[in-house]
This record gives sequence, C-alpha cells and structure tokens, in this order.
Amino acid sequence: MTTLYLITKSPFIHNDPSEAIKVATLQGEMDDGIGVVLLQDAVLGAKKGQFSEKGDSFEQLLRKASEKGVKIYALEPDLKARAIKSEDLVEGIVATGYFGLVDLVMEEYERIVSWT
Amino acid sequence: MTKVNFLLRKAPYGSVNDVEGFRLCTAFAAMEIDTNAIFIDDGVFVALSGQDPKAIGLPPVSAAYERLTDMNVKVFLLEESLKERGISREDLIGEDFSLIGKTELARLISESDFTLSF
Repeated sequence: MTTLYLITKSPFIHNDPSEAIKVATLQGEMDDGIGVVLLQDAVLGAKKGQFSEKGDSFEQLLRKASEKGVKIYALEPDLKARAIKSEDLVEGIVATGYFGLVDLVMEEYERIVSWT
Repeated sequence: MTKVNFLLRKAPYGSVNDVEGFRLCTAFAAMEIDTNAIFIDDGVFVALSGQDPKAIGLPPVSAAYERLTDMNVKVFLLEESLKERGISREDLIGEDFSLIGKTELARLISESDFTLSF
C-alpha cells in the first residue's frame, strides 16, 4: 500500500517535521510508493543551503529520504507566498498546486498520514 | 528616553504574530519611543524578498516590514537564524537593517527598558 505523509509545521522551530521525514525514510527502505507533502509553514524547509550546528539539517533529512526513493512535494501557493523560489528548492522536490494535491491525496496514494 | 525591543520570532502567513507585532511596534514608534524590531528564528522569513501571497488569499506581510524604517523603527536580523535557513543577504528586502549575533541580541535586551516577544 502506498503512503503519503502530510507535514504542515516549520521544521526550524518544531521537531515533528523531522520526525515525520525520518519515519517516511524508514518506510522508504521497506516499501515503494512513499511520498511526503510539505504544506503551510513546512515549505520553509524546502529551501536549500540550510546549516545545522548539531545533527542533520531538515535539508539533509529530505535528501536522505529522496535517496530511499521517497518522493517529496511542496505546495506551490505556500512556496510563492513565502518567497521560496523554484530555483532555491532542494533538488528532487516537486512543486504542486491545489489540484495536484487533491490528485495525490485522492488518486495517487492509498494511505494518508497527516503529521500535523 | 524609553527603549523598547520587539522580538519577532514567527514565520509570516502561518500565524498572525508578525502582523500584530508590527501594529504595536509602529504604535510605539509613533509615540517617539526608541523602538527596535529584532527578527530571530522563523521571523527572518518576513524579510525575504519576492513574497507573493495572492494564491493563499492574504496580503503581503513584507509590505508592513518595509514601512518599519519609515516609522524610525530600527531593524535587526539575527545572523545565526539566517544561516540556519539558507538565507543570504542578497535574498533580503532593502538595505535598512543590521545583521547581529547572539551577543549583540543580549546587549540590546540588556540596554532596553522592556522587550516584547511575538
């Protein structure tokens, strides 16, 4: 069964986005068809060039997830509002609009994990 | 002269914290109180240029940010917060701001009469 994780909070001030990505990455090692959508403040974590003094940055966690075949999406209206440009996205992230999001939730993935 | 700091810590659009902070901030400045707006943590995203929130149905928070210096509010951004988020100086709106470190942040707080956090 395919699984789509929904993440909504800023990864810089909350811990749960990182935890969700780690779980999705572990599932990516076991199963195919794992996806993650970054929504609302979570899109702030889609910008590349992050630096972390201790442990992995959210960017590094996204890259590790991609390596395990996890597909990463980010909601385009939320990116545009927050001035995160497409050329600044961490490689591999796919920007999607509201209709694309509905497709992902209703058609492409069977199981939804809302990590909000 | 009374010295006041505003700590703006939240990302724009995800909450109304920044907008409410600006309202109070400009009110203080209008009363000729020495007012600093200090952007730390996710607050630094307020200063990112190119915000376009039409698609999510909200006005740009950056417009209020740009008015701060016209109101004689001094704007500071925490360098550590920018670095952590992959934001460089060229990504930011205008040039009327100072980049500071944590030590300077502590000094600004210690020199202030009071500091409000949003």
